[in-house]
Amino acid sequence: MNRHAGPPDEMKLKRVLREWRGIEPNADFAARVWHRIEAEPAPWRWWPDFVFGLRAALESRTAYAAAAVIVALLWAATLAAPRGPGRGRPPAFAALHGQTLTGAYAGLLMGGNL
Amino acid sequence: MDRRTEEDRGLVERMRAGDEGAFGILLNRYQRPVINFLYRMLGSAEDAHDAAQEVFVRVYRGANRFAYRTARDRFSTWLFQVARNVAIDHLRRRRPEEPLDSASPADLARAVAPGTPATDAAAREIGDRIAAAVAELPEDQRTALVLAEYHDLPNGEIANVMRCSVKSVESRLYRAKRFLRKQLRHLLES
Repeated sequence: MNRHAGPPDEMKLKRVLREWRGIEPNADFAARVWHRIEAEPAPWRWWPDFVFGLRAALESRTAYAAAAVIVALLWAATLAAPRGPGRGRPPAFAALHGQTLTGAYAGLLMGGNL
Repeated sequence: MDRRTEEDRGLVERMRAGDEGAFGILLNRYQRPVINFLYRMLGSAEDAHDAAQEVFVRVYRGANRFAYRTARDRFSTWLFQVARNVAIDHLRRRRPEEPLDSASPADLARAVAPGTPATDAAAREIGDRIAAAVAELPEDQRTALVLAEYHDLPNGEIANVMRCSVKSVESRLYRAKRFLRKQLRHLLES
């Protein structure tokens, strides 16, 4: 078939395709939908609705930006903290220090007195 | 944003807040396009009604999954996405169809000749012939063709529904029309 079929060809095909008529909804269509909503239990899901909000955030790249900021902060804190976690620094540095999940846990055990 | 899109946006927000009346309005507004989309995807009025019910149940239950992210987002785009997914599910479950009875090419050509009123039977035959040709298209080409020719959606909107590029839509439409021109040549030559 001609790749460069012109407007008359297009119109002709369009006209023929329109010969396939549509259908009208059944009169009780809406009632049947409501009946189905009431009759069928909602499928059980492992994940709650907020997961979809999370997905939207991922798709909109907001979450990526937030994750990048958090990683940058942790990295900066790691650079800022000299050798041992929190040594000679305010407790926030210890808490943020990259090496110190254990350090932060120990800090919590000590009532925050790092 | 046009008035309809803006109204839909308000209705969707109300629906998400649990307003059943808002869902009822959307249901009445979109039942005809959804049923007709599915009718042309599935080729059966009964299947189309059944599938359309499923579409609206999914929309009702999944309202929280739909989020307006940009000003151009439309409820109808999401609705057609859901309808397409339901159509794909139905097509997967379906057994291979019996071939349709067909009228002779000459009968069909006479029936669509300009100025000749087609009889109901002939018109049905033409519809069946077109339906059979459309049914032979791969699902992606069929979706693009139905949305373009029967719902007058612009290519950009079809691309949003099908989650592909506008170029892909153009390519699918081109291939679908090339196939249909070949299959329906007796009607086109009249």
